[in-house]
Amino acid sequence: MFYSTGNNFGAGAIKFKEARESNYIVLNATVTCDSGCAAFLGAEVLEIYVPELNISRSTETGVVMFFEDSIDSYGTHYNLNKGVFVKSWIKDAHTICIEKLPFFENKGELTIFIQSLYPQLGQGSNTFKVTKQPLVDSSPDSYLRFNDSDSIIVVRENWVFIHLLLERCDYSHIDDDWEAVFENMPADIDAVLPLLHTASWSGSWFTGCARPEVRNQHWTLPRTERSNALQNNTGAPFSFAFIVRGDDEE
Amino acid sequence: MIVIPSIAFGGFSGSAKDVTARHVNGRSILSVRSWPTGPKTNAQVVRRSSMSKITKSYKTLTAEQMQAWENLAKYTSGRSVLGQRAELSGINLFVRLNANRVMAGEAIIADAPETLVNVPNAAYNKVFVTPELVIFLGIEHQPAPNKLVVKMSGSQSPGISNGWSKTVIISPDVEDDWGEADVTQLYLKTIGVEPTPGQKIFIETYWLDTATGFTGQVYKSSTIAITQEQAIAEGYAPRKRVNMDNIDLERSQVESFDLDFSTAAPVVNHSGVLTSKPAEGYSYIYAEAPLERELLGISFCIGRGVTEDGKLMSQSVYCHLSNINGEAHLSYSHRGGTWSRPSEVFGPGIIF
Repeated sequence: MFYSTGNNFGAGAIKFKEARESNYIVLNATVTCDSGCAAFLGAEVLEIYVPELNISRSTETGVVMFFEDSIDSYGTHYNLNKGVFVKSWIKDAHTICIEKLPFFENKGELTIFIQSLYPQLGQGSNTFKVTKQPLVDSSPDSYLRFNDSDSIIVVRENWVFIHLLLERCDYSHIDDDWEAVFENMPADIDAVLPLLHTASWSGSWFTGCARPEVRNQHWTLPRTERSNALQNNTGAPFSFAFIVRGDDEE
Repeated sequence: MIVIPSIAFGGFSGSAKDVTARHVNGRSILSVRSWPTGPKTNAQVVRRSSMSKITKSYKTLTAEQMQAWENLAKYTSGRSVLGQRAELSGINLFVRLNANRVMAGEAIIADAPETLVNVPNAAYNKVFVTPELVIFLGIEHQPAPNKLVVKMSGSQSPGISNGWSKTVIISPDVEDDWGEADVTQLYLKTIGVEPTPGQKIFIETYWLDTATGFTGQVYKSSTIAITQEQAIAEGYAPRKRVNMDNIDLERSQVESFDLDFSTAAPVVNHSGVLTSKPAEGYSYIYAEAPLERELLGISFCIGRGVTEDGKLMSQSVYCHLSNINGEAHLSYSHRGGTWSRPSEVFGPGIIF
């Protein structure tokens, strides 16, 4: 774990969890910033300055840029939270870069979820394959259906990879807070796991995004966190994340 | 060029036949006019022409600009001559830096750089020279505006110990691709003949800061050309990737594509823009050669698609790597998020 030493877009100190491997690094951080501040508006690329990393550059990977949005219509409050993958890369051993899309300017508080593996190329040997396990809800009264073949977890010693694809919720639980239990998920995983999905409302320029939490194998997504698009079992909701295990000590 | 003590020829200057005497910073220098030897190459003709153009352009500078070059030159030492440190004049520095810039395809700069630039030294792990391949590996990457200048000789007798005077510029602006620089075609184009196994190749490399024209120290090395089989036996392994150079462009549904396996990690690196027919939820890519068995499998990656009305939508993408009828088939299928084409896929994808 380490803290950033600065940035060029007006965010405060950023806490990173890390899993350093011989030729790549997995980083997790949740970054908040004001998308209307002068520093953010003036930055062409968002840069986070950090103590020396184990690699001096990486290929492009993806992070989720999120902001809250809503609309009140005829007495009903609609959650229109949005998110999209933006590119991120390690420019040098002290600088993590994040792509800035002009659309995000003046959208209030932004949250950037960094849950990414930063690899390098030309490392002298090829990739190697790993073993995956299914991610299915193992609670006895399961009412959420996750795709059997595409919801997977790859467990490594210091990090996990998660691809979660939610298919549907039984109609009887459509207005409940949602909860699932993943037995194959290590108990030391503690993270917000952005759930991106098709936005059915008009005028949206990005995918919808909800923020379920996973802690001690329990995945929870409150009703208030979900948009109508997600509520109606549409939009192929999914999570794609590399999550660091442990590394909580200050 | 002859450098002699100033006592003997102090104050003497001028030319007589092929001998020129001049007095520079307290030293008298006698030089014999030299003539280029050997046949002129196109590159030499171009370089001599550009040097002349650069020299003439100095006269068009303002007095302030000339003074700035003079000021910078005071802090820039030229190459030592017979143990005495030669100092550069403003025009010398102007010509040197601009000649470097022009060589790298940049325009002549009129304003002197504000400060001296400390250009890093070139370093790499290995160079393989075979009749089919000239490649540098493990280059210590330097970011732009640095570019690597590579000078190499043709095949020389292995008994020659000092043959760097025979090197010529293979390329003035090599940019390494993750530590690799394959200069095979540039070598063949410049030298004209393939390296001969068993013969020695002399090499000079240095970084050039193309913004200012300053260069780093020249790194001199030499290697014995070997056969391709020997290179593989010595550990050369071509970087494994499927890209626009080795896929069937007629059948593959991509605008751009580069799948790189050289991560030495449990991920492959996806990069490309996928296309397909509107009703199809997948894109196929057909590689000309099959993939090694250990590279076949399934990978997930992320994507961004643009809808018909310009919306930017996030996706997750399922990638199946297989061999069918002697060629590699890569299929990218939509899984999570909004389906749209074209879609850009990028980043590391776990592989299992």
